[in-house]
Amino acid sequence: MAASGKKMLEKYNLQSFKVLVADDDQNMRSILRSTLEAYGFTDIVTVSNGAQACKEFLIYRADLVITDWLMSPLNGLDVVRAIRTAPDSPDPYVPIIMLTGYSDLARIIEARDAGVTSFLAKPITAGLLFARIIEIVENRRPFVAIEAFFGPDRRRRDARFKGDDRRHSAPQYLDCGADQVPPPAIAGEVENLRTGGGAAAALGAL
Amino acid sequence: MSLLLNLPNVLREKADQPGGLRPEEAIERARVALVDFRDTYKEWVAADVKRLKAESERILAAPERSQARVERLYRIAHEMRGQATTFGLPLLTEIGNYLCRFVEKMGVPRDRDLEILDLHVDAMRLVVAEGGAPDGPATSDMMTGLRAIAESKDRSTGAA
Repeated sequence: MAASGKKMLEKYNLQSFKVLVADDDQNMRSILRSTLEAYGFTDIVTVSNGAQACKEFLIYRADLVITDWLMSPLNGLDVVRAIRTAPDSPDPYVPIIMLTGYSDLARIIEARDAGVTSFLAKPITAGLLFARIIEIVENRRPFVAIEAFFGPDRRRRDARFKGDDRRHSAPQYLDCGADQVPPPAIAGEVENLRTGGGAAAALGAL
Repeated sequence: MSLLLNLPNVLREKADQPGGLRPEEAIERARVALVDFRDTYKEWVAADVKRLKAESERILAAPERSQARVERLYRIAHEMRGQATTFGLPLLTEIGNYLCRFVEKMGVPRDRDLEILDLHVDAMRLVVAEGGAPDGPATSDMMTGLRAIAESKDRSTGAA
């Protein structure tokens, strides 16, 4: 059962999905391409650094971004921040998997606070990467827009939250339409919160 | 102000089309694809470990100019640790983790630190040459030693 309460799909047709993969290691790009093709993806673009990822993202409307962390110029974290908060990001809500050789808690928190949807430590297994992708397909987490953060809700729905609730006010819940655009009355406020946090340079300037 | 935006799940609609794969089918296909990579991976890892050793030798030959070379060595080891277990070399991932952790906590390296790095590199070369887990007590001693180095570094830098 998905977290949404819906029964999970029995089969997944991923042929029409667009996937953008960023990894500076050529071997890893080959591994990921083969693995994703095996899952059923047919439209995959791979790039070798964060700057290329940001440029490509402007024109290739990815349904899913899988990015390494350690790259240059621009690392994976820069990519995440740019996608989430750059004024010219064509889709700040796109699911992003950070797939990295880093596995320490400090980095997981840093990635989460930059707005990744899912953090996956390498080495990968066939089952684990697929499970993460399916989790993203089945469970569309709401997005949080506050002064200090724009990204998927960092609180897991199925975990009890310990400690004080530091949210200063009850959040306003808003339903976005099929085009993912917030209701017009609040769209401006969302944009201010999204882009006002001092994010990385706009995607187009890279 | 805090806003919680409920987004439509367009990806689920996209995936819910005829002609899809069951999860177990997709995973099995990917598993086979990764197995098919194993021979290619042997070539990659042999080349990587050669580059690693070359970098380490340059570092030891000129320790005063080591910073950029240590960064290159770190990046090679970082990539290797992220792939090795996928292709049946978990020991290589483990040693790669120790090496990377050591570099992260190293600060300005002393000559002894650079020798310890080279020790890790030789351990990785041994694993690659043996094609996996070298047998025998020598390997066990080697891993015990590397773990002890990592833990000692953690203690000296106050890491958990």
